[in-house]
Amino acid sequence: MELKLDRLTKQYGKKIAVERLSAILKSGVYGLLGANGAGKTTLLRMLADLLQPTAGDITYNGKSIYDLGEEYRDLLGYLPQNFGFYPDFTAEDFMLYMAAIKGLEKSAAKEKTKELLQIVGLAGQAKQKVKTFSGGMVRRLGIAQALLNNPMILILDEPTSGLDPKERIRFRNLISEISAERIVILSTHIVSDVESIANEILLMKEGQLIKTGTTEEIASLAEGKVWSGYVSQAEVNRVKDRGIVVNIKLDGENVELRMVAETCPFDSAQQVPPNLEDAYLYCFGEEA
Amino acid sequence: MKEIIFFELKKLVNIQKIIVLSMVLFLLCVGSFAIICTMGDWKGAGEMLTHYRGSVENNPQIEADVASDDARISEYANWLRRCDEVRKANLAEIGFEAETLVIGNTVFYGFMEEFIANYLPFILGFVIALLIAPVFASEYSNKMDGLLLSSKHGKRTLIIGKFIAAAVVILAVYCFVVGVFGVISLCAFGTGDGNASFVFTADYVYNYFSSPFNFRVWQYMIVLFVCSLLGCIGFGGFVLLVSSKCRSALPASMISLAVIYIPILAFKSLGQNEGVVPNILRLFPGAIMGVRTLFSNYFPVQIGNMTFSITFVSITLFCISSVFFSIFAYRGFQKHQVQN
Repeated sequence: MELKLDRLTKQYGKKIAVERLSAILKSGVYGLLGANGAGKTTLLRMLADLLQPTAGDITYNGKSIYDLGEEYRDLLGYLPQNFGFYPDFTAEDFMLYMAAIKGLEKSAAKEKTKELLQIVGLAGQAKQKVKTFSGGMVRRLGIAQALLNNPMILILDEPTSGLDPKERIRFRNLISEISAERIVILSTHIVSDVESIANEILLMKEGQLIKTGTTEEIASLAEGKVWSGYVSQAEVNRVKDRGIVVNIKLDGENVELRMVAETCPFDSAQQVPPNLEDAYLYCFGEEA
Repeated sequence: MKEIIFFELKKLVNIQKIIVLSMVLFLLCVGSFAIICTMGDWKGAGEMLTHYRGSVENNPQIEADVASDDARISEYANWLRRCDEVRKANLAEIGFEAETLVIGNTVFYGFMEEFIANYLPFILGFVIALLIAPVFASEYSNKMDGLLLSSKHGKRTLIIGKFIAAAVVILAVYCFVVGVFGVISLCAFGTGDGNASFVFTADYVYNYFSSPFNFRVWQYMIVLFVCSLLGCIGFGGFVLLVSSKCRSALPASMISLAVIYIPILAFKSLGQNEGVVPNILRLFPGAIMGVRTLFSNYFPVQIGNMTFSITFVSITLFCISSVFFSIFAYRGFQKHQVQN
């Protein structure tokens, strides 16, 4: 199973949203990270057959997805960043409707709907109208519909926005469980969502892939650039401008500061091992 | 496919909508009936026409009434004979051979025709524009387009399902409106004489004498229903096209309403049936839904050395354009690029 992006470009007028992006995706979880406007959603829409690229091609196992058409979409599970609902539909109606469009048989659709609503914790609300749902519940319903057809390629755009911590953990575990023999592409701003489950991180900036690698490889980009130490409260404002502040934590009279900076930002600062969030801030700076 | 159509119908109408819509349409039908009743002496016309049955030519009742002492009866009998002669002469002039007029009580048919010609396009135009406009447009405004178009059947079967659901809604509304009005008229006047000549439907007799269509009234009713339903479905196709191009249902409804109402109002304000402008206006959905002016007289269109009846030209062009509307609507949604 191989999804190949070959010099993929999407241009809106003079603005280039995605520029000559190439990548080969095999089974596993891919975390797509980038600041707002980096082109993540545009890229995912092209992968979901919702946007025609201006140039380049996407192939699945050597065949263009645009030639495969229905056959390719049958392999897809897609959760967009935003999606609405039909006011008169219950959660069950919505799932059955999506199942019908995804080509599931009626009996299989009912069974799968029940199972997935259980998994996302909406079994008790199956007969409730979606218009009464909170944002987090709608998101969970969106995740459930994306899994209806047992997709080989799962594209999730900001899947955890609006979910509470418990639901985020449940979602991460679910993705980890189902990721074997599938391509899961997960775009997010929340670094911790991909840190623990992604096999590979794709960093996007201004429409281009600037770096790909494992969590550790990406984190190592900030090697020797992450500093931690204590400063007095009065010093914080002066020190802040010497790098990017990752974390500020009040500790009695002093403040514990974690910063990303090229050189030691304050006297008591010690180099610490970087994590993915540090690398993200290091790569995107103020944009992030 | 069945499930898709079921859910598409559920999106378009729900129980509350059906109840409210049924009540409104019922009141509109009753209101239309009341308005048409106030427009002429229908009871008198019905009685008078019932008095004469059969053909105008060699009708012993008419022959006897011409010599009647009662001026009203004598005048009416004379007028009937004159109608027949004038119509035959008019048709002979344009190369058609006319059958002798068959007369009878056609008040029910006259009411149905008046309703379909003048009221139905207004009522159904509004309802269709309102109900069908959200079919594609609301998917964009609801941000459901991404989910639908990335699904296996999202770019083909779903669109066909949406078309079928829209057609079912149009058919149901059409049957309800025509059915309610038909039942009211039937209760008031009975069926009358379905074998009378169609040009003799109550109000025609006063106006038109050159229709080349030698229908019986019952045949004309079938033509009327088929054509007006065709007009409704064609208009539905246009609304779907607009819906596939608009980002929300409101502008789609507004554009559709303008397309149905402006030509109807322009036609009425022109106050004439012949000429280039009325012929162009006959190509719009409102004219096909109204139908009457297509069959009432002979309106020729000259194309090169050939002469065509505007009736056939209008219906043919409308059918072709309806097919194109539907194809463009289909492709409009299928090729839609999700950007917001």
